[in-house]
Amino acid sequence: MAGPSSYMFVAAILFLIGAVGVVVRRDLIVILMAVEIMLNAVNLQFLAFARQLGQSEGQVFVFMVMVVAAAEAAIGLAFVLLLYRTRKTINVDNINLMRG
Amino acid sequence: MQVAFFWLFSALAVGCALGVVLKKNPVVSAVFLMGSMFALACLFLLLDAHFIAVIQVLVYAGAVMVLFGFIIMILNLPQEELPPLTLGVTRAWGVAFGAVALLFLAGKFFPTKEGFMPTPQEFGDVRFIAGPLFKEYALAFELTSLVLLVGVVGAVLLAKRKA
Amino acid sequence: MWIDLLIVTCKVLFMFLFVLGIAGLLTWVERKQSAILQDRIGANRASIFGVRMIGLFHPIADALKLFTKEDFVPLHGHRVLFMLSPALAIVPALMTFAVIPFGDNVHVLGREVSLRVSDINAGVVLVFAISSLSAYGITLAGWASDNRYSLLGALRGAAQMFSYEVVLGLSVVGILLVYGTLDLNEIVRAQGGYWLGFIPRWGVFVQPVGFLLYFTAAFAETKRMPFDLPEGESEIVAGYFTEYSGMKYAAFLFSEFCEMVLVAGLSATLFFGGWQLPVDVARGLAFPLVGVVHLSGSWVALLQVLTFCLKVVAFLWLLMQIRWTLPRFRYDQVMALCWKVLLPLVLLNIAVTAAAVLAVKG
Repeated sequence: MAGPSSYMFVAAILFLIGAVGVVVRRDLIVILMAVEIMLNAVNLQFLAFARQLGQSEGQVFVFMVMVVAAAEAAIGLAFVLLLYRTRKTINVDNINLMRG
Repeated sequence: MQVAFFWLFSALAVGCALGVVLKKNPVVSAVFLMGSMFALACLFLLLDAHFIAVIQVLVYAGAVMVLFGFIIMILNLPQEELPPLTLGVTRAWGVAFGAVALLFLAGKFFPTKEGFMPTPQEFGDVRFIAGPLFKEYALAFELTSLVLLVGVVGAVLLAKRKA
Repeated sequence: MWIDLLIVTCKVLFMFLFVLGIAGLLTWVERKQSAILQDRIGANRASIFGVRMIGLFHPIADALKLFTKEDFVPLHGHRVLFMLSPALAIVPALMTFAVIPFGDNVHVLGREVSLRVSDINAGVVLVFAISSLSAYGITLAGWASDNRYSLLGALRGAAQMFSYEVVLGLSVVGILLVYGTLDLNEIVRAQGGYWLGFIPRWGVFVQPVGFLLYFTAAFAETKRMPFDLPEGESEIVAGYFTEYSGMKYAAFLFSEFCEMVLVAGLSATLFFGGWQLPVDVARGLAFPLVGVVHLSGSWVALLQVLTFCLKVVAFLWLLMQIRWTLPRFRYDQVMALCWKVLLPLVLLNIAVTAAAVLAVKG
């Protein structure tokens, strides 16, 4: 039987992959994807705990996280599109207008 | 049986997540991310959260990822314009941090044999989520609709602006 | 244990054979029906030892031809994704049938068996979740082909399926509000019986606007004329599958036909009473001159399955008729229709239905 600790283990690994992805990659689109991986890892954690406690709150939170993630993806990708139009790049290293 | 499925889908989810981070081409990354989402939906099914699993496929695999694919194709960057995968000093620190954290987590959370507590029969049912969603969390639920509205208007406004 | 396994295997096999068989037959129906509409004879040349069977051998001949064709893979495209996308197109189209009920629960070998593959309680949502995945097949096919026309087709397809999915999902909300369940079998069960003794309690009479919206959106999802912009052979060669040949091309073709069967099956299930017979069989079949014929349980079950199949076939005929009647939209018209006409209508439908349900049920 795979218990809560197994799910926590997998969720932790997924979250780490996402976090390292955000730090390492320069492609803005892939960075957004890595953020999605992190959100998903958290969702898995929420559900594992909800199952352990037999409560519905965890599932409700996952529902909310998904809604926010969808809105975040839409806004984020609109930013990518706008950024590419103005700067002709999606490499985050080249987006340094704010650096004096 | 359940354990085998758990490790199968976990391996799939983690492997696909690695693919997202390690592949240079964003389209391939997007396909890997879709695979990861799908494997996670299967894990949700193993957790008896049927409704959430279906919503996961509908929202993530069905909507968010198609949006990603759409944007990647609109940009349609040629191979040489893609940001490289080479590792700078700062990024090496990121990977090092990740490795250390992974070791720490592996020690801390290493899977034990114990299973889940017995869960209520109606755990995965839609009604089980709908109750609290529309009662205790009604305000939060309404606010998420506001978030979505802002998201829609913001996305249209940003994408339509002339550069 | 092994009996359960056997039952599930039987259900899956039946579902597969039903869908693939009808889809295969549809390739013939498409040619014949278009021929009848245009006052032609249509395909009738394929013969075995001189027997022509009004062209019924053509699907077999087509399959043989497609199997033996050269399997072309573009040099500069993405090889793996090019191979993968036909599968991504056809698998969701087949998977969705898992939750559509073929008949009422029957008693077999001492246990109650529901006549559908999976008994998940969020059936309606599952259908839309899985069918939303079929957008990947087109977008990836178009991108992996490394061809401008393919990419144009893929972008059109993604945008179109994305937009109409919104209307498709919302158009069913009215039905869900009325019946108060996400379970397709319970929705069908709620559609049994009559108003005033002769009008069947079908969903279409409660949700006429919802049905029209659903049918339009679902039709757009199948990407067939007048919504075949992603293919648009007079504009962008063949759209997203320009570079495909042989069995991969056949996979795209088949996924389109499977989606048609799915649309027909869902329309019948959600709005036209699914496996509910239009006559009351609980008290036996009443014939005008012969009298009442009483039926046993298994005969009723068989009649229900037949009724469902008949409804599916009727809808398939309607879909074919529309496809060969209307000319193609312009692309901006398709998008405007979705966002400026259908979406406000579907939201209005939900509001009105919700108010009505609240007024009736309190």
